[in-house]
Amino acid sequence: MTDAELDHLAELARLQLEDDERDALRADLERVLTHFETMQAVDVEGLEPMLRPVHVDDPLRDDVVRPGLDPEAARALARARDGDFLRVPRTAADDG
Amino acid sequence: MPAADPPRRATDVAAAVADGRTSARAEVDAALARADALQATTNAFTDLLGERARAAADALDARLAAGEAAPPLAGVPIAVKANLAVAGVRTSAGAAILRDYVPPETATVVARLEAAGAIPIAMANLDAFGMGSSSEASVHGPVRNPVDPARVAGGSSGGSAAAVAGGAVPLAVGTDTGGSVRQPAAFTGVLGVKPTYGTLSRSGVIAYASSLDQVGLLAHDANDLAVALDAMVGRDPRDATSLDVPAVFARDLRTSPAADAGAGDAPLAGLRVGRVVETFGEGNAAEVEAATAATLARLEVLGAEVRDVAVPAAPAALAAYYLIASAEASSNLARYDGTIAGVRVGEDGDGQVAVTTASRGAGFGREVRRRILMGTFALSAGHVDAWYARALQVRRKVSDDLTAAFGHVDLLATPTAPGVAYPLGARVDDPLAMYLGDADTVLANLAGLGAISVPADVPGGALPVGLQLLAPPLGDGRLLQVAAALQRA
Repeated sequence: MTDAELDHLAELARLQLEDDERDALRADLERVLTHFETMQAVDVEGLEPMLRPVHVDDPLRDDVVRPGLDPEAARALARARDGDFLRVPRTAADDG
Repeated sequence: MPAADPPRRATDVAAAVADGRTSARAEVDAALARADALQATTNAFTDLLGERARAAADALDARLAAGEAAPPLAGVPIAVKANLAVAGVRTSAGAAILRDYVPPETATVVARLEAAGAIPIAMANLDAFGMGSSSEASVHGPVRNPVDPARVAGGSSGGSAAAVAGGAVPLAVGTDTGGSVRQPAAFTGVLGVKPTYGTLSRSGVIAYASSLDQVGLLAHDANDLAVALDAMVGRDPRDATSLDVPAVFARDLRTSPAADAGAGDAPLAGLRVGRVVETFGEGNAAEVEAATAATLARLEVLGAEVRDVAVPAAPAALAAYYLIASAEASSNLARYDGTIAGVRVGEDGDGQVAVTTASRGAGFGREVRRRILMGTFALSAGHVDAWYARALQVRRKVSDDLTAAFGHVDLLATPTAPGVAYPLGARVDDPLAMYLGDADTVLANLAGLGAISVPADVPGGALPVGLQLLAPPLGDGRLLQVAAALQRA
């Protein structure tokens, strides 16, 4: 795994890495993934991928109003707020 | 360690509270004192819930005094792994990014235990987000094993295991994504059960890998597990994967031959146990081989037939598990962006990407970072077919192999872990060694099966070893019956 590949993964994961952890992280990932190549030896020809262990038939609930989380309790979890609104960092550039 | 004999059985506590020999308040006070003492030697807890627990106990005592019938777990003090939400109580998941998180609602399974009379007295320490096998990767510091405080308690439900093994509480709630209830149970010498996927609601559980996560329980006594499961099961509209499992675990245990077997009886007559050959022999510590062999021999004395069975894909299960779990973790943990709860680093003007990246960098520890990056790798363009999709096919093969094995036997047996509890720090910088310890437990999570770790037969003074038993889907009651038979024999 190159430095550029690690940077790419970190960017996809929105994860700031410290300079002094990069070498160890890269080595850990390489070593673990190398070991996990044992998985490539299993004959999986024709097998359906197994996403979950149980079949869920009907995950939709009835379309009726029911009590939910108190809005103020939800707002209280915000790191920053402005009255009844959550404050989030700027999501668009000034020209966008 | 507490001086007074701690109660080993939750049902004994409940019976004493029910008939007035003791009060919920007295039991809670005693448990809080034991937990406080245990904390000094093991760091098993993230928080003790003194005020909340005493108020709940007083309220229960008042209801009983007014003539209300005692619920099945009346006044039983319990510990709750700190990745199950308890309203108004810090639920940190052991993670820096949730260090101050106080959820507004309680996890369904905890609320159901409370409705049955149980009283949470502490939140139990854990590896952050349940990602770890030693309970060392916690923002609150490592958990130590009450059997030998120089060693790990296992993980990620290490605090829950230490709480039970150390005598603070007779019953604790954990979660098990790849063995996180069973392996710490094995390392500390208690029972740990992870029922069939879907048996227990995950509503209010801080998600790690949703196709693998399941709630579990730790206790000394199989009947305690049955009574607690009865209180917790039942479809929950808030978890679409929850099943409508009937609350008959205690009844089935009571009416099973294991319930009142005496010496010389064969309560397990007719039971066929398959010894999964791929999980024994090379790679296991000698004491694990010896202890599990001794317990399998004891199953035969109790009437069971033990025979070898093959699960050919078992050796590849670990890789499939870690790739799938990490992929799901990278997705589940995407929600931590510094907006709701958690750590927020940076200024609004820095922009959303910069604040998110800095907040996650500051709030996720080393092991969580490894798994997010590994999962991101497995899901990324160019790698998804070779890694994630293939892992899902290997998962299918493991599940098919297990199903085929259940065509010949009623239960499967493996060691719970290839080794015993290791010294603190021994594997912190060697993630692969840490992961390899989960090789036997991940089988159940991949296939969604119920499994239990029972204390295996070790010589006096030796470190505990666990024998793992796996059941076909929804066969969890049988696991409790075998555990009860071993316990009584």
